[in-house]
Amino acid sequence: MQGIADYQFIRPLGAGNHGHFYLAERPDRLPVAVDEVAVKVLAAESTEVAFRRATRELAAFAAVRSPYLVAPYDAGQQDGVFYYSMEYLPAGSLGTSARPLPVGRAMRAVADAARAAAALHAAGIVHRDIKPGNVLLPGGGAKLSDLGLAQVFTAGVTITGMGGLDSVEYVDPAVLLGEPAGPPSDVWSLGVLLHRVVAGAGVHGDLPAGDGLFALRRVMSSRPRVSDLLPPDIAALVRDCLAAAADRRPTAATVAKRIDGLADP
Amino acid sequence: MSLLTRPLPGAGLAVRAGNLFAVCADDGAATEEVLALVGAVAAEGGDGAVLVRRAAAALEPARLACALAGPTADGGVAVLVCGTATADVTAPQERIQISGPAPVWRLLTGPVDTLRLALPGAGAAADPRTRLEAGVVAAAGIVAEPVLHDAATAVRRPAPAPRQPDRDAPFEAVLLVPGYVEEPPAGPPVDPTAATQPLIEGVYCKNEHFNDPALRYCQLCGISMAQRTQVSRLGPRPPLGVVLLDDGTTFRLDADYVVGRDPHQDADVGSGRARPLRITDGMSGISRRHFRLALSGWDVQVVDLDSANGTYVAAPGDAGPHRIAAGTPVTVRPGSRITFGQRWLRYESHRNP
Repeated sequence: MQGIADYQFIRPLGAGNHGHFYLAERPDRLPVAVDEVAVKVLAAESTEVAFRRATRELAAFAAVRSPYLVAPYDAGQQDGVFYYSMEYLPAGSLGTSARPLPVGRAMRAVADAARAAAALHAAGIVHRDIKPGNVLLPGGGAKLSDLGLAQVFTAGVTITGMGGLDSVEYVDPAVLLGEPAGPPSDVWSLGVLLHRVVAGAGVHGDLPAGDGLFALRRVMSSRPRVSDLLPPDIAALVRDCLAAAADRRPTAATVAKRIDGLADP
Repeated sequence: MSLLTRPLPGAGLAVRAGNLFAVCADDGAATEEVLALVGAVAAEGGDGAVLVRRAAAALEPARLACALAGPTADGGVAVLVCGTATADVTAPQERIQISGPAPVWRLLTGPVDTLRLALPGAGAAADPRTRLEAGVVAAAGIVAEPVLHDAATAVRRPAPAPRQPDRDAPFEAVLLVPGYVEEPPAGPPVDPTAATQPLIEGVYCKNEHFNDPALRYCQLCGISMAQRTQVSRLGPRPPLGVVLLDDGTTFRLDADYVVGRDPHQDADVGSGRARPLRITDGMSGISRRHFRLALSGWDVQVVDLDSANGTYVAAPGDAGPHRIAAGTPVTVRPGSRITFGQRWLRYESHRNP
């Protein structure tokens, strides 16, 4: 793809859960002081209704002021294709980091993601797609990226089958089974994320890469298992996030605070 | 699943136990270990994925020339190669060669026609009169034949990159930069899936989960409903689970769906009473309006909409799919597979056990 609207693409950055990312030159129109921006192009056909809904969700997301959220710049559509642009953070994510991060650093990144989720929840927004690839690592901190918008473009969809199906292991199984997503399902994802960065494994064992169906069945049919490798206080926090009853889970703000209390030995 | 394996002539050892098989250079204790592993995983009832994962863990430092494979529980094939061994996979659309020297393992989810595991020097073809049903024989390779095939469980590849829009077409854009946001959002965004839920009769468990009155345990928290069966009430119907499409997409069952090549033709889709689920199979096996997934009380039903090629349902435990009569709702249980044209979807739920 060469571009969309007035964005000229420089190179692809990879695939997300429901679209593809590109690095692009900033169009003159955008009132931001950067040269390059990230553009996400969605795979689903855009319709007028979906476009209005998606821009409304993104505007609500943009209105949440948090230093822990990636800043969106612009949303639009051309010839039935929907895109949105946001700040480009080249340092990678918890999902792409070449070497495993030191555990303390990774835990602080999860705490920042939890603070971002807390800010969204306070504004009545559910992120729906918290996973390593969406926790970007600029400077010493972390920013949560990429609100899950799949359900806006295809009514009723809970997983799009696109991109890395590794994201399945971060989704609250109740949501996979059809229950609506809410703040507690984001907290579930934060719990799995914390487990992943500390234990180096998910809570459903090794899911085969490239076999989404198998991964999905495993996640739906097996209970999450907290690794024995986790220090007891971290294991306790993960277990609280994975409580079967959604209303027993801590809030995202509490998750952040508890990680802060644990991150530095 | 029946599996036909034949040895390839040459130096080495081939093993088969259950549906798992391997070929291995004759290299002392490490070889013994591989042969024993195949037997051990088969004895435990493990599938190809288990075999390959355990072998990968055991082989890392060894670089022993060997290749292992077996069908996976969900209809694919798992393959591992190490050292100078190779695996050649012939699938309907492609040929894949997998080679080392570091241990490489692959889970193949598509249909496979033949799978050839070989050590260097293996004969080109197996003698068609030979077969290896169990045990260890002297051989430099193994050829497994089409029986690995289960097209119905193949998972399609993820969708390709998005379509390049016509760059000359007009575009519209909404700035989201603070201070420039053009229309401030009116309140929190609504969840479009939280459509009007019909009221149905059910029972609330002690934890306020709404359930089918016919069930003895809450389907969300597992608590006994024994004390509650007398207080059936009307409440909003919760989602009845999801349907999982063969490409990995899942859809929430909180509304009816019309499935087909062009479901927008359906009057109920036009009026918002059912959602469209547009699916094509690249051939012409799917009708414009093929079937409807309908929610009725606490049940999920399939209704064939007079499709040209029919709608097939296989309930868990059924010997095979059977064609349903057009226009007659058929109630499906979780785990049921619905086949239409070259595509399928499955109903998954923690409800309606």
